[in-house]
Amino acid sequence: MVVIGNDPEERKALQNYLSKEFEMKDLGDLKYFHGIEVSRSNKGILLSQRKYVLDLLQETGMLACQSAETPVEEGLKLCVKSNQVPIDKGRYQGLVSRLMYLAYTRPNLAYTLSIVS
Amino acid sequence: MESSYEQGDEILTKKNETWKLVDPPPGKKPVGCRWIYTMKYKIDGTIECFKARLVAKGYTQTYGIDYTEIFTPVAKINTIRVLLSLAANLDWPLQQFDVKNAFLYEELSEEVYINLPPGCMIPTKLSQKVCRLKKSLYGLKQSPRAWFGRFTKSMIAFGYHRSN
Repeated sequence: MVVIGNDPEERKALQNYLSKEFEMKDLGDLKYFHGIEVSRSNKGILLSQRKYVLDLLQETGMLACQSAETPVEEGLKLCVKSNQVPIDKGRYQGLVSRLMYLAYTRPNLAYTLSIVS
Repeated sequence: MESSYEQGDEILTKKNETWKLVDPPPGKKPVGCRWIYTMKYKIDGTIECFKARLVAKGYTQTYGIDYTEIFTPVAKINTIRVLLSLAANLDWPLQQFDVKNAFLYEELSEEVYINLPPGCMIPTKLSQKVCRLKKSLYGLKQSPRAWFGRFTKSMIAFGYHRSN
């Protein structure tokens, strides 16, 4: 659970109350949640899904692949043959949804996503 | 090596009163369960602790018999982003809490039975019994919803309002 607020007393009161209701662990400053790393500087907050993307690459065996600035060409049509049988629909949809989540910190994936989904 | 069986303790020592031992009720099929063991590592790769968690095989539950409503609201990612943006712009602190064994708190409204956990040391005359769950358990279909209800109750009792 993430608590945001500018009233330290209220925050402490909430923490005390919830600790009485549930057994709770104070994780201190927000660093990592839902696969998103959070780091803070005086300029602002930086969100990064570094670990998430590395895990994704590892799982798909693509760690050694070359990266490209333009991962997809414009106007690409998937599934050119009309009689093509889809292979492992579940896995494909799973990968697309993982890319969708990645677009949270990488909005430049939006175009590619519009093609693959 | 020291191992910590936090949740195991929690259930077996009845600290939380998760279940009651009863005779198998006629016409009710107990849900299976199993232990999930995980090792937690510290950042440097050394083992921090061993965790054991008892989970119910929720996929064997039947709609209408073992559970009814199971949807539960979750935080929308855009809402989180707005809050983070507020924190960044107003320079507010961000703090994180974790509720231990969150799913073990709420009283179950449905009648759910599980088999005795595998490896459970119990006298033979009791071995035919099953566990009537009083609180929810990880793996049950209704657990996330039950936790949300429990958490909401506490937050409202403390004076917070729900956004809509």
